[in-house]
Amino acid sequence: MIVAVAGGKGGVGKSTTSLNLAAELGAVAVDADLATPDLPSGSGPDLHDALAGRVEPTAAIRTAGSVAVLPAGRSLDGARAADLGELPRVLARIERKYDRVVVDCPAGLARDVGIALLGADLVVLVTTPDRAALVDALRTDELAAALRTPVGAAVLNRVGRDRHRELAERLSRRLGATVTPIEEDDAVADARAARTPVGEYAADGAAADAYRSLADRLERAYDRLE
Amino acid sequence: MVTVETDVRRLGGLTLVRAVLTNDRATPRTVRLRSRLEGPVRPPRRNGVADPRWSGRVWEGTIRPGRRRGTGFASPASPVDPPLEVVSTDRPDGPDRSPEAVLATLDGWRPTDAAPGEP
Repeated sequence: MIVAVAGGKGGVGKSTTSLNLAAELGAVAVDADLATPDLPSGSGPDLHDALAGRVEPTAAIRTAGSVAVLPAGRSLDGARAADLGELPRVLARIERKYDRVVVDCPAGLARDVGIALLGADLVVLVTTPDRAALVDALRTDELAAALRTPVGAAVLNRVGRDRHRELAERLSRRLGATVTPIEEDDAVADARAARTPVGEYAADGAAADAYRSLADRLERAYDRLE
Repeated sequence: MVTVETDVRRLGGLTLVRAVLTNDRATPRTVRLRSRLEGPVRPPRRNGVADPRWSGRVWEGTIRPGRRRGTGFASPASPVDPPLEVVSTDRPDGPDRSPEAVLATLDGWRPTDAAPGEP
């Protein structure tokens, strides 16, 4: 199962969603945002090296806390030299060994996002209640449809307690996919600062429950694909 | 995809062709069919007006997602099997593009001059 976490607009919580979803699914999180990587990195070979064929993709995976991560790499030359066309092959290699892969997509709707969506089985759309973010999420939905990768679920980040319920319902109808609202929550921010999935950081909090339910929904969506 | 089921009968010296088109896709499809009979197409007439979806030997119509539509014609020509061929199946707003074709339309990607890791 390869899940692409995308949304169009930057700063809506794609990387946080990717890390937490990977933790819940027991998946490898791949940071496909070559220019502005956001997942924990550390040192050693990275996605640039895997795309260039310098290392076996699975050899560049390391653990960040409890989550296995393939970092994007932090050198600009590496990003320039990377052949994104190789991304689907890299994702498939990882899936073969680890079974589940979560791809943290870049912002925007350029070809780098398109390649990641094309290489995935399912898309998770991430947005906030902000109008610009919603517009970008719907554009990403259209791109996913054109690339024939179904949207398995959506995340509505930074909602207020008991607010935005109507928005979540409207978005769900528009996308034809369930929308998981994630409340503005100190636990999410603190866990992110500590580079830890919120499920470990505050396992009994509302956000941890929300990511667990998102993972369950995706598993069910994936089962329906077969 | 769009599937076409046909039924051919001879009646009073004419070949009667009926077709049912089914669109099992999630988006509308514009379908063009062509008669394979070696003779003129006589479209059905309603109140004396020929079905405008027929133009010569070609029928064109749009079928909504998950829906079925019927069409047909008569001809003095002998039956052939199949009596109709599908000329094209497109999305109403243009040809159905392959994922690779969609990808090719997206803006190229290159890193900005910002250092990686910076916004």
